Amino acid sequence: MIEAMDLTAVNWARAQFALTAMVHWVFVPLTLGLSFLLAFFETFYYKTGNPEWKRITKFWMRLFAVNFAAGLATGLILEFQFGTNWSNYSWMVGDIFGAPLAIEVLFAFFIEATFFAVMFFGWERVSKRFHLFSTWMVAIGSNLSALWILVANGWMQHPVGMVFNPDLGRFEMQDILTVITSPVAISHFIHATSSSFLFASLFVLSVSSWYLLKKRHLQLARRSIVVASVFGLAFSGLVILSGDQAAYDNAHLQPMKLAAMEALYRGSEPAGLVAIGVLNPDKRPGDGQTAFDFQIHFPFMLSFLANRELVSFVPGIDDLVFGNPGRNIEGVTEKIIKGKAALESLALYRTAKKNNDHAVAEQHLTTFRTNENYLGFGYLKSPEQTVPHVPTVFYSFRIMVILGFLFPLVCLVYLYLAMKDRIFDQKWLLRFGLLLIPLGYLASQLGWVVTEVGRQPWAIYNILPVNVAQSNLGAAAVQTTFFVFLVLLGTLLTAEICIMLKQIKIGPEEK
Amino acid sequence: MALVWLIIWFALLILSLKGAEYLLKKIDEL
Amino acid sequence: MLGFDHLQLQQIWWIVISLVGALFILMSFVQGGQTLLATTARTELEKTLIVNSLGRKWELTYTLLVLFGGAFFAAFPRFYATSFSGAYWVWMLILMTFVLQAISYEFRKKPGNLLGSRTYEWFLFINGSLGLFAIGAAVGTLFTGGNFHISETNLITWGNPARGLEALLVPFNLAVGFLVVFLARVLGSLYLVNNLSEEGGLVDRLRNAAFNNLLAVLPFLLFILYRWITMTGYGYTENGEIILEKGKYFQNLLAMPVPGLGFLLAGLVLIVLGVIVTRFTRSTKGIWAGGPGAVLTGVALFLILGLNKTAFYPSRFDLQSSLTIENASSSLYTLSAMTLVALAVPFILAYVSYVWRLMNSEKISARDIENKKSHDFY
Repeated sequence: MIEAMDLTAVNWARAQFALTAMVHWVFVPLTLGLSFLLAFFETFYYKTGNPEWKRITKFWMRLFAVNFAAGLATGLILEFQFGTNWSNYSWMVGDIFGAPLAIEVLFAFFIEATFFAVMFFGWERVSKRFHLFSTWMVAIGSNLSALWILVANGWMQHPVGMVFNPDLGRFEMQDILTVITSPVAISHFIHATSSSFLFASLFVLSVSSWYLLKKRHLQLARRSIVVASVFGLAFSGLVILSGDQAAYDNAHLQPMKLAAMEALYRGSEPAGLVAIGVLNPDKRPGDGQTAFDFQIHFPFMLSFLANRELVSFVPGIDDLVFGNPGRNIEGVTEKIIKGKAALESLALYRTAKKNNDHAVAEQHLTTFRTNENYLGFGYLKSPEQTVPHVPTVFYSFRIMVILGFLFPLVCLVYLYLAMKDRIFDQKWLLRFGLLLIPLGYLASQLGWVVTEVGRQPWAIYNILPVNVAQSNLGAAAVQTTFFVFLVLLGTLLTAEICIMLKQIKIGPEEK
Repeated sequence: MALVWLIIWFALLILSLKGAEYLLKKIDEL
Repeated sequence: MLGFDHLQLQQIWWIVISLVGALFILMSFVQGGQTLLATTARTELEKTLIVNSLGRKWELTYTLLVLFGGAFFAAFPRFYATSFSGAYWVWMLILMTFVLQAISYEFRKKPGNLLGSRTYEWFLFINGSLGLFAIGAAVGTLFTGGNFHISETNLITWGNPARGLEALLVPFNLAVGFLVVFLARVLGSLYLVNNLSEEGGLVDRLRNAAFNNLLAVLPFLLFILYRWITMTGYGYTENGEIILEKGKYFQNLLAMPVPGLGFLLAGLVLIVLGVIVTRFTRSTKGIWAGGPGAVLTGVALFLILGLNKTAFYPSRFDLQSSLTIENASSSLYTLSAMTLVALAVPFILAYVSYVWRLMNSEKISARDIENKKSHDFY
């Protein structure tokens, strides 16, 4: 149906989306988490009337504002980019995908935009109560934003609630509630926000550590550490639980992604969970080589993660690509055949309809409907195309999880020492604390890498491959905008970091 | 199930606020 | 779902988009103020006053732009896909100027901002001039047409290598661009006169600017009105065939006497009234006429684009590829669902207005700026 388009252009478009999305994601987690911390700090001010809490709130709010602006600037790019660079995607699934994005603007952005002005500029203009309300609304608005984006992304990972319209050649929404309450959408929302809350806590811990090392603002640092470490500790549990849920969902809804995360080529029952490992760089699907040069694994644990049953089958990449009739797994070759049949009968249906040949059209439509679930496979050239880049997914997942278990321990240590008032002299901890920001950013970005690289080649899982989703632009145009964004966003990011460092150096206003 | 996750999320928000308040009071820093 | 048929919902959503577009024109006073920064502010303090006045509102304009795009994506996805990918350079240009705007308010006065405050002021100027101009020209192409072909298999091909920039060769598009920029400066002056406290010469200069910029608007406005009477518009028949109709847009104004011609005339009168009051009296209430006037004018402009069987995004390259509200829209289900969502809009307008009144209850004065620490304001 869609003629094969310039492959180089696709890769530049993917690179551009990855670049702009990852830069945006530098700023979002801090906004999501720090907004609630601000609400906490200001709630304490409101309850106690102690101006010290106002000072603390205003200090962190200054950093928040710088970060927030950069988040807005980079977010706009993504909204436009679906249209500019992925027009085929926009047409084919816009009937479903456009709705959560529009709802995000109505229900989240307007809240953020309106109440941010009050929070930042309204200290002397509105009542204490309304100002506190505004601060909470900024947090709620930002997190609502995350909800709708993850509903949209969740739909990409697990498309539900829609039907294909053969006359218009697009998908159409049938049930918006199914889309909104999709288990993938909700578990990813919980995971993305919880990990963002954890990140924001690490940020506060890190900046506070620097002040403690410099023997400045000791009281502010201690108070901030107590609040942030409680926040981080509380949500790190939810990060892990929701992460587990996401992996369980993957096993059933996106088994190839889970297999890639584990570099599991040969499915097994039971299957072990690889803790750490080094991949064999020459390994390809179906070649019989060992996948690992070295690995340490927990027996039974992948079966348990995937199926919540210690002895159960987990399909590997080879099973999913080449099929495994014993396990009721259809090979991709068969799917491609069905997919091509679907595409063919769709084209024949449309021709017959155009010629007013209704009986023939009806026939082709029936054939189409039999194979329509394989429509996306019809665009693939080879079964191996369904395998995402295993090393990227495998290593990213591992690093993220290891950090994800480390961070709550760090929060716990900070909390304990801050409560005992012994944190000032723990130079070793405080110096390590300076690394929390880069480590936090790493874990945060890798999460998206796992889920987005892991869903390749699909833009919409099993339905629309990335190669068919792009706009009809030449590679030159996309290359140009890629480099323009690189320079623009590089400068923006550098400026933002310089400003943040300077603001941290300046510190809170004098008492 | 979605509802359960969301309820836990909200509950943790309130819990962290209250928890922090409690601990701050304990060390006289509220 | 709601008892409306598909066509009715398509019309409702074109009206929604018209309203959003009109509100954006109103809120473009922020962009107008950003260019007034260069032409009316004489001291650092005056610059800071203007930036801080605009700074409390810039996110609302930004959000309206996002809403405009988002509403198109949700309600008329074929337009979103065709225009954004087809007129690639135009949308990328608009995008870049708004990215620059978004960081400039926050970064301008911050130590360590890497580029210096002048540069960020330039970014604001570029956004208010080039960015807004490009938006105006893009709106112009809704009248004069794009250059696209949509195949049976939904492949979008843009027929001109300039990918959208060729719009700048069409006088009508240029006129809309200039109109939007100068109108924004008019509205910006009216807003700043209302929001800044009357000290120094700044407000007097802004009063003059309101008048001068209105004079600048006039030739472009007259040209556009003239062209609406004479230009060939794009209508469509009952079975969806696109046809050329001379003077289509003027006909649309007459076919919708109240929201078309009525709003247009009332809107223009109100804008002129607002400017006269601001320039020739000491009143600061000009924006209360000019603002609603801009909204009425904007609504009229967008309504005649898409209603009354008009193709809202014509294609000069392939006539039958032209987009109408009937062939570019989402499904009946999606439009219904979105209409339910849109019921929240009055509520949104309510809290936005409430906060607006709270924050604007006092004018911004030099004392506000001088009292606060440098990091507490823009």
